[in-house]
Amino acid sequence: MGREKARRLSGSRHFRQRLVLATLTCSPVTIEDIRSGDAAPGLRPHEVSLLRLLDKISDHHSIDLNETGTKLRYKPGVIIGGKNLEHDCGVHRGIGYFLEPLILLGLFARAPISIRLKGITNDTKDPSVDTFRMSTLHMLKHFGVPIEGLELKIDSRGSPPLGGGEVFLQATHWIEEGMVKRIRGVSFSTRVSAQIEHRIIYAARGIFNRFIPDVHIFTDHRSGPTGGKSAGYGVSLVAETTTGCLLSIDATVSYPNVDEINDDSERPELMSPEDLGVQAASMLLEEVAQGGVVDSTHQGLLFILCALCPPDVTKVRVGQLTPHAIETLRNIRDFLDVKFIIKPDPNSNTVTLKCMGAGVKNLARKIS
Amino acid sequence: MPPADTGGGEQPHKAHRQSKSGAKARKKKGKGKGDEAGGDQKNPKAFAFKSAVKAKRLQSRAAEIEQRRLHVPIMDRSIGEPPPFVVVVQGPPQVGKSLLIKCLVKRYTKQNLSEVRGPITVVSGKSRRVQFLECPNDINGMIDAAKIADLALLLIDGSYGFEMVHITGAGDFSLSGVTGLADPCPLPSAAKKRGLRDKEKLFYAPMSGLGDLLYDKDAVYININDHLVQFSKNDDNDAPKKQGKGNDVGVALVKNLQNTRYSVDEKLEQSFINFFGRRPAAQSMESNVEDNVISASQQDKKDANFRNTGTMESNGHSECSSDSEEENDDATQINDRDVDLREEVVFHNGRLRRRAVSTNFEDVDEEGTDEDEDEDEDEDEDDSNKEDSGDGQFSGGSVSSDDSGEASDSDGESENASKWKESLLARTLSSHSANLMQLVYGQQSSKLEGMVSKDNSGETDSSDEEFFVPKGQKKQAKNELPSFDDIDAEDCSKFIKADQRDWSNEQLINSIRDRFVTGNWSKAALRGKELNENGEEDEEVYGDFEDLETGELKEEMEIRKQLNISELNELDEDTRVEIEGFRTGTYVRLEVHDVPFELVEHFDPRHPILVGGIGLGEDNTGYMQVPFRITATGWIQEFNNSARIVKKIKLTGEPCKIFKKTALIRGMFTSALEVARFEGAAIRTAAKIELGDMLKRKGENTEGIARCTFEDKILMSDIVFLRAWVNVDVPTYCNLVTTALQPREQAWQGMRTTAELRRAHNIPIPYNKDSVYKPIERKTRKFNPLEIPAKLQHLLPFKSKPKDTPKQKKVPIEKRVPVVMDPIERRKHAALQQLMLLKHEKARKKRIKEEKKKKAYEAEKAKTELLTKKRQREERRERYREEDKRQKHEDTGSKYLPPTLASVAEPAEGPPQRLHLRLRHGIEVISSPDLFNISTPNLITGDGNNQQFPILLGPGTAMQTMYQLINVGGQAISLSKDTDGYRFLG
Repeated sequence: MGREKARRLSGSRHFRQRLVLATLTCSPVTIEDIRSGDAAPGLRPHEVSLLRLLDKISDHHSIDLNETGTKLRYKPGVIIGGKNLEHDCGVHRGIGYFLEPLILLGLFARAPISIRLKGITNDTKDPSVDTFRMSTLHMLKHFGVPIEGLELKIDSRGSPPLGGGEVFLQATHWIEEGMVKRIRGVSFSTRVSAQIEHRIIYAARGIFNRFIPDVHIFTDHRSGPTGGKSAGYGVSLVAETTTGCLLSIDATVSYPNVDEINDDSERPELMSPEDLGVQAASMLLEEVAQGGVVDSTHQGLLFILCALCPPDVTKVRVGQLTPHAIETLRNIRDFLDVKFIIKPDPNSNTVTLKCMGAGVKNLARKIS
Repeated sequence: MPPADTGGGEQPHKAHRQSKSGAKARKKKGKGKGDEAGGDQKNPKAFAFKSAVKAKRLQSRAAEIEQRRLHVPIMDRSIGEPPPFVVVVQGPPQVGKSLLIKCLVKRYTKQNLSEVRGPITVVSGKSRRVQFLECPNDINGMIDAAKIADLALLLIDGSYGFEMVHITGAGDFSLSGVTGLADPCPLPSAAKKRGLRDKEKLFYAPMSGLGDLLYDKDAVYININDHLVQFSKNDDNDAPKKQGKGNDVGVALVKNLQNTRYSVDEKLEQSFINFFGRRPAAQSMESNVEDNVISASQQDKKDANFRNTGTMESNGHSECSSDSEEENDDATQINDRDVDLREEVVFHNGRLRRRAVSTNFEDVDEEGTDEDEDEDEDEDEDDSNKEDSGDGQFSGGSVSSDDSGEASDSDGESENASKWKESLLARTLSSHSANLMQLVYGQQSSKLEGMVSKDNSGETDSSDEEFFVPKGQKKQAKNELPSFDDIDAEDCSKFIKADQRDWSNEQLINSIRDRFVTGNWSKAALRGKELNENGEEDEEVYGDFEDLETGELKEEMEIRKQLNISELNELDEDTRVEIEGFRTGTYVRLEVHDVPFELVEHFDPRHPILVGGIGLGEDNTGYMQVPFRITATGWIQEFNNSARIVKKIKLTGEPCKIFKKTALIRGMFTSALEVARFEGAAIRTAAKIELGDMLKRKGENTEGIARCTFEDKILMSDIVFLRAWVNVDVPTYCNLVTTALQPREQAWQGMRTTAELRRAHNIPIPYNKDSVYKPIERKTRKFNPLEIPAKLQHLLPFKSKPKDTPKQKKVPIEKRVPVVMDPIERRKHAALQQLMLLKHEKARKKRIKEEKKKKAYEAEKAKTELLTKKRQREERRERYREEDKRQKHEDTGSKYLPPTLASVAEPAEGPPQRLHLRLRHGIEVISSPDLFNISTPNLITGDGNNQQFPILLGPGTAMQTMYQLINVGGQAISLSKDTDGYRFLG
């Protein structure tokens, strides 16, 4: 009758968030003008891969894409979930790209999701799987998601499976940042000398030593079939505070992606392990300096979780809002009709956000 | 009072002591015991289960009752004043529903209600309001009423008893506006001051023609009692008579008012008030016309602020002023707290402008350049737009409300776009301006709209067009940091700071030193404390919250509710409404557009319009699985967009060629495609001998023939079938009941269903001929006898070898050789036959004679036997009597039993009898060597439990029997139990 049929959006930005929110709110979306002005218009391979993933875990949905890939019509169905799923994430974006929406969808699936994702575990654009394991999954704990229900196992650098669970969210008040009490991390290297990891850790520790002695970075050297197909090394670091907040960063060095290689065939000079260590450490300190209960990468996810909560007041504190977070807030406003009260706190240079959850329920799940 | 009591006021009174002995205690004790144990003692079996079915039924009933009592604890999120308690009065016509309501209203408010129309709200207590609603007399109305009723009063016409009454809606609409209204009948506790007029506010019945004067945003309800109505048109002629006065000015005015044809807003809509002598901006004209009117008339003080903003905008002013104004109004709190921002009020071109100027911003230098760019940009914009040029007067270091920069974008100077984006981003990162919310969410009413709509993901189409920019530039923008308006920006949650600070710098290290446990704890604590002072005072509550993880569910809910209230109360009203929505019990005005006019035309206050919301995911069609119990407080078990309803189907086929374990099956499928579809399916034969498990595609030339594998070789006569399931589509059907769009008296008739149409037009249900079941004709199977090849027979063991069947005695008729006799032979044969006949006849007669003789002899014999028996018995009796006499005579006092006992133990001529001797506990010695003819161990039962145990009674055995009755005591042996074997005769 008087209701609008589908939400009309344009552009490819926040593709994941839009799809996730559309799925959770059961509202169809039409995305137009996807890179229509670009030399290579339409969806990118990783976005198509995401659609395929969505197709795998849900039921009774419809995904229409026009020929050029510039227009997408998505009518969400019910998220089914299931076991023994497998998805090839491709080589364009890291697995983190797929994990972020998958975690949200997994919370609202009918059955727990257990999926094996194959792809890049660590890259420069997306949070690495180590970050997910060490920090993102723990973040869900604050919303009443039992950590036991979530599991992420790295079989080999290149293909980690994820065990998912579904639960009822609960509103949270999470404003105490606390003090950093220890720093943990995992460094990894594939198809390079194991010595490189020690060089990274040595460099990073050099910086941390000025702040805190409790620094422990594990190494995860992979060679052979478990090491994937290309060389690379990196580190992800987590700072744990006294109140249980986890601030994480990760940094990776590897050769550019396949699509970028075509432009300049010559292999560029890579960052040295020492520089990487220093960079990673600086990034972590940067996050610590910013404050907040989560790091900048997780702001968006945090806000979405807050907005999905039952209609209780949720309060969180973050550091400076990232552009991604701001866009997330806007998307939340559009899809869930949830507005946050954003209060800056000049003393600590942080921002306090308050919201009333939208009370999204897992309709798909069968109640015993 | 005794002095002791007065002296120790706190001294507790002596507690009541229950008597533990005495008559009272005994009485109580006995009472309790009797009640509790009575059932058990008197008839325990009466309360035991006798049938399992009944027990199960009882159990399920108990569970049902338990379920009814048990509800999933639902958090009560209602905060503040409770909404009116809805009382629905239902009953057949003429039963007195209206009368009841009238009486109740009078009871509560002391007011006479002339007519009950629509809902009537009455303040019935300090914190309670009651809304009476007369339930309409049709099924839709009742369903509607049931949805909102807190309490239903059923009125019954006693002369009829219960009656079933035989006999809503307009559709789904999206709201275009919700506004809170003043409570028309506030609770006494909520009302500030009680005036004389407040008495009337006890009750609110806008449709029943009673109540108070009420401003309902843009409508006014006036209630005038009948006897006060003097100016209404109907009484036009009578009025002067009543009044007896000349035409008053006021009266004339009122009468004039009645003659007006247009309402005030209609009139105003036609006229146009121009504030600033300018034409309004074209794009906002239609939306703001109404606003102009209202803000001009200043009817709504509450919304004036907002509306003024709109007006300003519509008049073509730059957004800057309006924004800062609103910001100051809305977020005064925030501004007040931020010390480093102060307001500067600027008069320019007759406009009042406010500007926030920062004095102690650290990033001044950084931002200077950006600001300059903004300036340029703004100037450019202003020039090009030929609007007020006053915007560009920012000095370096002043952060004029951020919106100006953003807003200017909407007009889109493409060449500057990337630059300002950068500046915007830089500011986003660095500044913590008070209007973060505005920055994030934008302002709908300002020109910022351009940006917002883009951020709104292009819900308006116009914004997209502005992004047809040269490709090169777009790419350039892309290479920079992720920006806000790039609709194709990379989707990446990781935020990488462009510049990397050197963390070996001592100053930097010190800046975050306290964020580590190695730093200064007190300073770190201060950091948190300051925050708490600023925003939240609920530290204790927060602490509680941590503890309650283990607490009970209900308690947790209560705490959570308190937490919510405390959080929400911090906010000012507008913000609160924005994030929480309107609270329950608030009177709101809902604005719904594009509603069919019939809804208004046929509105009947007796059928109030019920408005409900649709939750997320509830607006698409699907299937729900619900347990409905009797209590009708159901919940949804499962929600599905699709329900799998399947039908069983059997595909049959017959083999056309049989191999060892596989066979080619024909007739099951029609094409190779179908075969491919069913590859791997399980098949079986009719005889259920073999279970096929694989189905392989075979033929290229033979369409639809499949090669199937079976466990064993099948027969040509077997029917092979495949069991499958076919999805059955359930047609989805949604037909809105639009009773609100027609007069209520009229019975609503929806679109007729296909079935109804068919019935009306007498059209048979179409069917597929092939789907009709036909009688299956099959030939009866003839099984050939099993023949084992001779070769195999040799190899078989003897057991399995087919045996030679015995020769038949009679030669079958076909095998006999016919005998043809000549006349002599025939005569011989005839003679022989006659002789034989004679012989047989003789023998027969002889046999009959002998039988007769035998019978007579036997009768005679029986007679004599009878006599002999009689005689023998007599003799025996005589002998026994004599012996008895003799024995009595000889052995008086002797305990030994006479040997005659042998006769008691069964007749002598029978086979050796088993003697069941009942042994009591007593002992008696019997000398009975020769009397018992027992060779095998006998089983002897004791009396009590019929357990048998062997006792060997040989010829030399003597038995002792002692009767309990005499020696030991106990019960006598009843006659039925006694075998008569041993009886004490003495």
